[in-house]
Amino acid sequence: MSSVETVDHRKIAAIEPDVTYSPRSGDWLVYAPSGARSNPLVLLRQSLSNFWSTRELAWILFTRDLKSQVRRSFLGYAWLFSGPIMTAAMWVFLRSQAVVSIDTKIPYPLFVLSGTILWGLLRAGFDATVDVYSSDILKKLNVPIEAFIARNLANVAFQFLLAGIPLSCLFVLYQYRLPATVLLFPFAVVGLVLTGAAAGCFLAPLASLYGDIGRMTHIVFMGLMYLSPVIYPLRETGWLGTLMHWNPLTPLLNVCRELLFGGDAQPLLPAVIMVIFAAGMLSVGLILLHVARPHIIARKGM
Amino acid sequence: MSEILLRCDHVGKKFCRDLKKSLWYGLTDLAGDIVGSPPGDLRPEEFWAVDDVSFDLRRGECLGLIGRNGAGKTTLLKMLNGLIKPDTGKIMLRGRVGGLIALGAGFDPILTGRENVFVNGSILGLSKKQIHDRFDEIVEFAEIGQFIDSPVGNYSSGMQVRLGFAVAAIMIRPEILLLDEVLAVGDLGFRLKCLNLIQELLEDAAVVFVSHSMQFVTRFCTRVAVFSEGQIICNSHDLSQGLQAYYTQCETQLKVFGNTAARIHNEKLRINDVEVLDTEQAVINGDDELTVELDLNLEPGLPEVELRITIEDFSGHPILAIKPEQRAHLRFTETKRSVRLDLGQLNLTPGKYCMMFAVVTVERMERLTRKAGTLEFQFGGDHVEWAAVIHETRVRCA
Repeated sequence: MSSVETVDHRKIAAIEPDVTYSPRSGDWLVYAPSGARSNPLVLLRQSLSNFWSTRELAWILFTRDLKSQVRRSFLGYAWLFSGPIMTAAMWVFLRSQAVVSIDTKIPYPLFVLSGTILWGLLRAGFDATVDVYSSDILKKLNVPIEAFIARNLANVAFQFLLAGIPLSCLFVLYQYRLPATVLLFPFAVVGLVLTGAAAGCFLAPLASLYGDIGRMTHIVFMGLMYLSPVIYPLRETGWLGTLMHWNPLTPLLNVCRELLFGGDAQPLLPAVIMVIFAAGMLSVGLILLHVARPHIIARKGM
Repeated sequence: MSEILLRCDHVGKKFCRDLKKSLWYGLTDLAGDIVGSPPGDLRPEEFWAVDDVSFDLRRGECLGLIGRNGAGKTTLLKMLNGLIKPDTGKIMLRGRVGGLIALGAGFDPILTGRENVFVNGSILGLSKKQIHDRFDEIVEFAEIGQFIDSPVGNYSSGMQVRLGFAVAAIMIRPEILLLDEVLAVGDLGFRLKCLNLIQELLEDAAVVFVSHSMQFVTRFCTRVAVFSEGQIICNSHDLSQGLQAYYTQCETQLKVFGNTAARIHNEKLRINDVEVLDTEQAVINGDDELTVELDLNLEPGLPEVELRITIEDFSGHPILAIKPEQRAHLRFTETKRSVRLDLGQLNLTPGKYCMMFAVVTVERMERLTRKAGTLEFQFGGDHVEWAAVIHETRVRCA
């Protein structure tokens, strides 16, 4: 599956007897055409160890972007959560004008803001992997791709922390008391982000070759949002109800929200299955990102 | 002999001329990679960007890759760096691979030079501590001084490149070193410093050096490989042979500037007083007498003009000029002249040369016409020296 494999000395000697070995250098690194598959598990282990070995680089890249963004704009991070707030505010307004009627157990502003923020995090997780090839550095230097994924995920984490600000404002406003389950909330969010990231991995090679994919995902995400309990809760009846019911994102979003606000309408199992499935897909996706990288650079790299 | 650190074994890489097809092939190649089927033959619109390239490189050797643009040098370098995979053959490397490529990668114009050094160093795979330890050395080498705490966006382009070069060249100590046209950096003073630093890097490493500057190739390389259309057409330890192969790929270009007030035409080369009719035959040796003939047409009413003649080497550097005292014979006021110059025996290093003629007014040094790249000839011989002129010397040792 990949071209990079380490070969032991005897194997080389069999091919080319005149190679002299140095006792102090390590094994040969071989770049060969595809077809010489190596074990996907080895690749996955390599990928995961890259996350560890490039943690410093990922952090430096993250802080670089952070500083750069703060220095070049007045509002800085306010922009990161302006999208979810705007969408939420719009729906609160529409509902107050009786354009739509949405009944929620918790105050609607809390419901819709938490929904749009969660959706934003899912989208950010998706973008964290789908855009990973767009970095110029990756095309010019042999830097592990994991550093860039980790950098992007760190950005998502930061976005998550920032999203706490408008949410806590609303909590104070509504004098809402957080249930104990809120401690589990970050874990659920991690599951949500990883689900997005897993989907992103699979589209990343295609998206970097064809611009159509980027436009398409934008539309798909918009459509999906209306089939998920983001702006209104899960419908019990009708076509929409059926679609929302079968939407695999529904249990995840519901669990996230219930951990934050209490409630036990959503069974945990589907959400857990979904996260496990996403983690599996993410592992496959990471391997795919590795295998695809040289192909992408060969076609798009300058 | 020292050990082999790099081996290219029948390496090939296909590229596609058509963008749409290229993207599609990329996708199918990826799919093939996943199911494990090897890449096949050329598809429509494809060509071999690197074609069946094989060589070994040992520790301490420096291989110069030369060739015209688009010959496949950079593609090969990308494969050596592991950015793209070969379609045929294989590349084997042993030891740390590093390069002076993409200098200043990751620089953010908003951040200060100091911050960017850490970003760039980290991208090159260095730890914060390693960079911190040699930070002062980097700043000193780059001659950035107190600007190190200014945003890189405010640097001049030269300063940016210097800083990028300093980080990479001071911090990395690879065993396989890849250099891609990095020496054309900064002003003359800085360039000399770079050369010395690179000389240090070369020791004990296997080096692949891509350059269009024959001056640098001859200075650093122990071997050259000449690329043409993806293939190595000459791979030799004899640099002169390689350079010859490179030069023969390039055509001299006749360049004529100036107005019609003065016109040089009908120029001819004579070897031992025999007129050369075909450039193929224009081969001279140390004991041949060279003569140049030309016709000069001047518009009536021009002030006194002087004819200048220079022999240039293949890259257009002037090699040989006429003694100033003899130039008095090359001043004219009449409208039409035939000129014959006996240059006598020349002592040049083997290679291709050509002539440059110019007509200037004597008083105001105004250039009326200039004709370069004409009367191409080859100086024969086996052994190429790096100096252009070979001077006979008598040696006496006490």
